[in-house]
Amino acid sequence: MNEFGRILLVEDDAKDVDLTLNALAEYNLANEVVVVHDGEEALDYLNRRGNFRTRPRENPAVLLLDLKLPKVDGLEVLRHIRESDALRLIPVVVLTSSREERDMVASYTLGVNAYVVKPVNFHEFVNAIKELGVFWAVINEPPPGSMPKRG
Amino acid sequence: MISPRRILMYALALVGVASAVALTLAAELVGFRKLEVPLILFVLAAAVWYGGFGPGIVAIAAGIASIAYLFTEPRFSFYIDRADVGYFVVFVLFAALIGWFALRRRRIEQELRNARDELEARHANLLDVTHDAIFVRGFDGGITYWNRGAQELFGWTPVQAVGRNANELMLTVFPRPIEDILDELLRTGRWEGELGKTRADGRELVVASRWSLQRDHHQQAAAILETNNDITERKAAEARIRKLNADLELRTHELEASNDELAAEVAMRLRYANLLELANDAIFVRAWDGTITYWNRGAQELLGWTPEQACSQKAQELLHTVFPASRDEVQQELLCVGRWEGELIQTAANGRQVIFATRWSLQCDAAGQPSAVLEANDDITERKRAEERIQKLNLDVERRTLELEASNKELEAFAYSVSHDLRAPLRHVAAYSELLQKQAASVLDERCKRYVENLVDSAKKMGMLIDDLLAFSRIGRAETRTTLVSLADLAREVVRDMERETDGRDVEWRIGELPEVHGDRSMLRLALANLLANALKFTRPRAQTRIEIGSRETPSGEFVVSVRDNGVGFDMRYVDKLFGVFQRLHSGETFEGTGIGLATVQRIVTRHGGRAWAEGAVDAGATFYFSLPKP
Repeated sequence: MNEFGRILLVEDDAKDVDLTLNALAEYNLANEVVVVHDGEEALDYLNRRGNFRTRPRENPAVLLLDLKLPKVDGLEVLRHIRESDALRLIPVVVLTSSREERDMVASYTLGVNAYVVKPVNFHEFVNAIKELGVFWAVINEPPPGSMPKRG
Repeated sequence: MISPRRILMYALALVGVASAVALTLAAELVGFRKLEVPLILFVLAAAVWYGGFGPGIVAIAAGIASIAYLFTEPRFSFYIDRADVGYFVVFVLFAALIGWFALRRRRIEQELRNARDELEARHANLLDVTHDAIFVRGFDGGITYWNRGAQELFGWTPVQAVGRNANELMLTVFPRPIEDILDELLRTGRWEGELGKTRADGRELVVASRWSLQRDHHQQAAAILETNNDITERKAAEARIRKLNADLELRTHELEASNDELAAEVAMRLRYANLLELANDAIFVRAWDGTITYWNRGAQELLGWTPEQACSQKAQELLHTVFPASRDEVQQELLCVGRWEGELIQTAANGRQVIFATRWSLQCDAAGQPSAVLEANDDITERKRAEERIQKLNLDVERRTLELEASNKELEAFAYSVSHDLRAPLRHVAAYSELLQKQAASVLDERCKRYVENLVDSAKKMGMLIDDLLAFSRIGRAETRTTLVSLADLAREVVRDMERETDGRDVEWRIGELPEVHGDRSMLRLALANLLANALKFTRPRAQTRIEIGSRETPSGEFVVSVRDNGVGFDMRYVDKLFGVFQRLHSGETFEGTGIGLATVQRIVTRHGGRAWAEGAVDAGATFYFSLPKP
């Protein structure tokens, strides 16, 4: 796992991390991914605090954010990003098990860029992750100040 | 007794005679002779006239003696010559005649005088006897007569009064100019009127005065006789009476006025009292010391005491009043603003505690001092109890609501948790099963491959179950967004969606007249979709499928929508189970499904104020109905 990548995956469930990386690996995107396991770690990474004091100045090209997280939950992380001058331009994709309407409304209200419900069916899941990765990390032009593509 | 006047008369007679003799002698010296007889006769006449019989005799005697002694020969002797006797006789006779005439004349004169004196005395007495004050005054005002009544009335004696000017003496005050009065007196001979006069001692009098004019024999006005009656007392009495009358009149007016006022007040009080009697409120008046002075019928009915029992009792002691605030505060407010309102607890005659909504009004006397309090009491005991009951009910409802809200929150949290946490491991099972299927395909035999397929299948099915269940629970929790919805449009929309999944089947959709209703469009769409999907599912064995959607109106103002199919139907014995969650009348192998569709329909319809039911028979098709209120 690369310490500094263009995709920041915020996910507490190891199996989901495994499956997500598995899916991204099919398009050779796995090594573009940095994984943090709770909201606090995510904020530390973004704000270059704690263990992440030495990370490059550039922001990730996209943030894949789970909502149910230990310590600081996903919506709080999203709110913090949108309220911070340094972070507010980062594209954020919510990636969650839940189809709950109130989560969707809250996320879009806070300015999320996309909301994806993880399909139960693995094929569909892999396809969804692959398309997300390709779109946000490859096709989409990230805002200025984001990490450049490798090579 | 011989009076000195009489002796004087005799002396004068003698002196007269002597004077006559002396005069004669004196005359003889100058040549006049024989004057003795006429002179002595003259003296005789005078003596008789003034002195009467006695002095006359003395004068004759003295005369004869004088003549005999001095004037007849021989002189200076009383001897009378014979020749002279005749002379003396004639002389005596002549003297006697003269004396007799004089005496007679004197007698008549005396009698006349006596008669007049008597008459005058009698008159004077009469005038003196009367109590009227009578006086006579000349036209110049000088008083000539003053009777005893005048003395008594005015205080001056006749001696003091006579000769004085009457008007100046008594400071007469005339009612009108004196000229007018005199004018009337001269014209008519009399005048009457009231005069003010002042007594000798200064006291002022009022007299009723009558004047009579006296004329002399030439008909000239000579004197005025004034008769005065003292009417000072009468006038004073009259004045007092007049004043009394005036006072009386005034007082009468006042009394009449106050009588009128009293009558008005009595009428008003009666009217008020009657009105107060009519009131159902317990109304009573208590004096400032608390003594009850009025007690109406309402008070009697609510508290039990009759007016006779209650009046003159102290309100506090009678009613055991319980105040909401301290009594001083209540009193203070009453004195400040003149009224007080609040709730009191009074104890009735039978011991029952009565809660009153009470209104007090302060009454003040003319001096502004508080005199009484009018209390109007409305029995609110029942209302208070009802209020308490309602409050208790409200509390219950509130508590129930809180409980329900809490349990709803729990449910929501539960559903949220299911949505997140239950799906994740499920996804993992499915994902790793598929990874296994893919990567271990070469090492797995057919049986193991089927196991893995079943794993994947079950995980997928459980995912569907969870999704349906969450959707179902969302319907109960979600807020409805009510708009006017055309069920006809909705039905056509759903049918269009369904037609994609009916490839190869012969399905005849019949959409009849459908109403517009008020409701949440997405929920109603879901209900309709579930019913149509249901119909499509259970008609699958039919070569030709017919699904009819229709509606009718009920007399009670509802729309009833029906979905009829020609499918496999159901046994009416199990109709109750149709709308239950996870209740299925067919095995999953025959007809796939989670058993939540109809439960969802029922929940949506219920939330719209309607109900859902079904009719059917095994192999004879089924009809599902739902009702919705008319907009």
